[in-house]
Amino acid sequence: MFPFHLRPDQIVDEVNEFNNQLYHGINTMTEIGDIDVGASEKEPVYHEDKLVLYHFKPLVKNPNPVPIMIVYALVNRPYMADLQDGRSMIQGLLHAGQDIYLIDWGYPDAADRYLTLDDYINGYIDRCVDEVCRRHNLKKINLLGICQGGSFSICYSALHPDKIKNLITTVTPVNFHTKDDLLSRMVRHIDIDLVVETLGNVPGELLNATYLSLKPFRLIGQKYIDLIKLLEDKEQARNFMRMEKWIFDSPDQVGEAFRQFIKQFYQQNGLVNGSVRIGNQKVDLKKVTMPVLNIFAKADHLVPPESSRALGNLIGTKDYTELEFPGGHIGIYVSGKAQKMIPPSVGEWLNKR
Amino acid sequence: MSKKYTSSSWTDDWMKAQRDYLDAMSALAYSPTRMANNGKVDNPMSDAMDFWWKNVSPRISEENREFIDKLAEQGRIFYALSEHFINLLKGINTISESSENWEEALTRQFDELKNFFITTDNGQKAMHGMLSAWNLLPMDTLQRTFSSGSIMPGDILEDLKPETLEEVTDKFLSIPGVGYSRELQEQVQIGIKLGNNYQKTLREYTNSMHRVSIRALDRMRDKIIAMAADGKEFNSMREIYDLWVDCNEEAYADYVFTDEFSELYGKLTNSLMEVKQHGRNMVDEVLGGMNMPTRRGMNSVHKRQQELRREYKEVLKKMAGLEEKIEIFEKNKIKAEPPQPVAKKSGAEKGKKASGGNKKPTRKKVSKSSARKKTSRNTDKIVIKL
Repeated sequence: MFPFHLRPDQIVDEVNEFNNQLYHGINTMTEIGDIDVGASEKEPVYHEDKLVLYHFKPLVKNPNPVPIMIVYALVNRPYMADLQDGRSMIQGLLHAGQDIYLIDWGYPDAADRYLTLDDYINGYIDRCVDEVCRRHNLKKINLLGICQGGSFSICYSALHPDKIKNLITTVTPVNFHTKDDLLSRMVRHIDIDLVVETLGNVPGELLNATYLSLKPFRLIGQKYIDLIKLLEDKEQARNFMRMEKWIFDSPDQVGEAFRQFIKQFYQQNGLVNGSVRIGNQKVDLKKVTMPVLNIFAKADHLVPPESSRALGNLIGTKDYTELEFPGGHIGIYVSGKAQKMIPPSVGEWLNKR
Repeated sequence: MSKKYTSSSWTDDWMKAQRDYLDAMSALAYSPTRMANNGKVDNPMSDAMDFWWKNVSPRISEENREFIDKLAEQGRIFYALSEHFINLLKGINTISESSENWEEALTRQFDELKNFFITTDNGQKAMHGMLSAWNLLPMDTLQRTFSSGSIMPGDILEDLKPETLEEVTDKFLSIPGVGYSRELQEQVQIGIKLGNNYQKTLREYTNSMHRVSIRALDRMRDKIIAMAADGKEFNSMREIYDLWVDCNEEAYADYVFTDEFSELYGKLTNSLMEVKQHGRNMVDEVLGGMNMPTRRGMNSVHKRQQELRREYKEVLKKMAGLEEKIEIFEKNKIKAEPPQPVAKKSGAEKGKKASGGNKKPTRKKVSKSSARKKTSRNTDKIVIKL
């Protein structure tokens, strides 16, 4: 059967409709004003270089006495975890009775070019953990890592198991050589030494372009065609623009740390092979003996589920739980479905321990 | 603070663009196909969009312009696709009226479309516009990023166009430098060789992406035929656009998960880095000659500064540890102070106490070893407590 039932005048009408939507959309864009991000009240409690450690105001009278410290990735900005009212993992965790701290790495510049993974993990993260321990008079706290921050959190927990009570990883890459990991394939044959020697810090714009090139037709084209319909509504336009702001708000990557991360994790698959070294110490995942909750997204195009799930077979803990979220890499933090599923599950899991 | 555009004049521009656009659209819909015109392609809707955007964009705030530009670009692509598919459908419709074998007609139309994209300049241009994804190729972005970060005015790569490079033969580049500027000649020759290598790799990459696009069209044709066999229909341009996106993503995924892509992508990045690094080294030479800060020099400074900061933080950590130990030691010392000796009370003193008389304490001598014992015991207790 001939499948096309489109007359030229129908097409003209459809394109005309699209044209009108585009017109209204652009009109909306000129009226929506500044885009604000952040839903939860917080205060800075520790500064070091460009790093700021924030403490979020608890939303329940007696929060969990052992706080969670969130370690975000060096890529993009951490406000994604607290994007807006009703689309905030942090807000959900606060409602679930948790006490939350968050590391904001800031925007590195040329003077930070020689920061290493050792400086980040045994330096910044360790001092933030100490600060939270000091404030709560505790010896151990809970650690929650997001994406690359999850990989850092795993390394930290292996190197300092005496300071971590429970470890939670979210969309965290562990096996960097799964067959469906396009990012890994893209960097497999790149001479990272040459890249870092040439560029110093690696521009955030370059990373953005790399992410877009994972699904170029959807992310550069179809997404904006879909958007044109949404733009009739100002609130929906604002929501979209918040995400857009976050997606393209990409700090440059510190040269040395980037070199070490790409080489040891992406190219050598060091977490799986047991070859990762942070400073002078070898990361032995068998030393991750605290309870671990590993949350991954089923439709994650950046960190394939198989990559995250590899953690279970590598660590030394006997208390390991997996939680699969039916969505994508970003949806796990901001979608309505995620708000109902992730924070309550984390709260419940922690309360049992 | 960004200014917001509130004037109604851009609405007028829009209305004019709308009129142009509708005229163009109607003309396209009711006129013979305009694609195959000595390779010249007319895109009236896209042109109308371009016209409107050129008028409006300067008056939109800086903050929103980039984003709206993205929207407008996608609008242009949607229009361009619509135009191509109107032509395609018209071709198919004409044949389907006289023949039942529409699949053959569809294949022929797709072949014509591919041929148009492959063999004509305008076709390639149209393809590039349609596939705006390639306009944001990582390498193009990389190149722009470098340009914006370059110390040199403009982009060093701008002068390394393939058409000029192709004129420079390897033979010419292998002539050794002579005379006073021998080293500079050598450096320039190396730079041109590296640039040439990058451009060759970039062409290889772009060609591979074109092949992906052509495969996407094949896939789209097959899918249309399969959908028809299942009794499915297309009732809007949007459905066709979505299918086009799906087919492109699938064809792209088929390619980028191959080892060939991984190697080519690495080769492309590395070749660009070599060009850029060479350019930067030459700039450093010039700056060094003028006694100005160079990248190499700044790297040394930053590296040493980072090492110092690392040592400083290590020292602070050790000091904090020592202070803590001292504090514990001081606490223990206080607690370990020997208890005040109490002299044995004589019967008379006992009597005094009983009668409420004042006593004057006398210090009892304690042997050193006994004091040490007590301190040690007290310390153990406290450590356990801590």
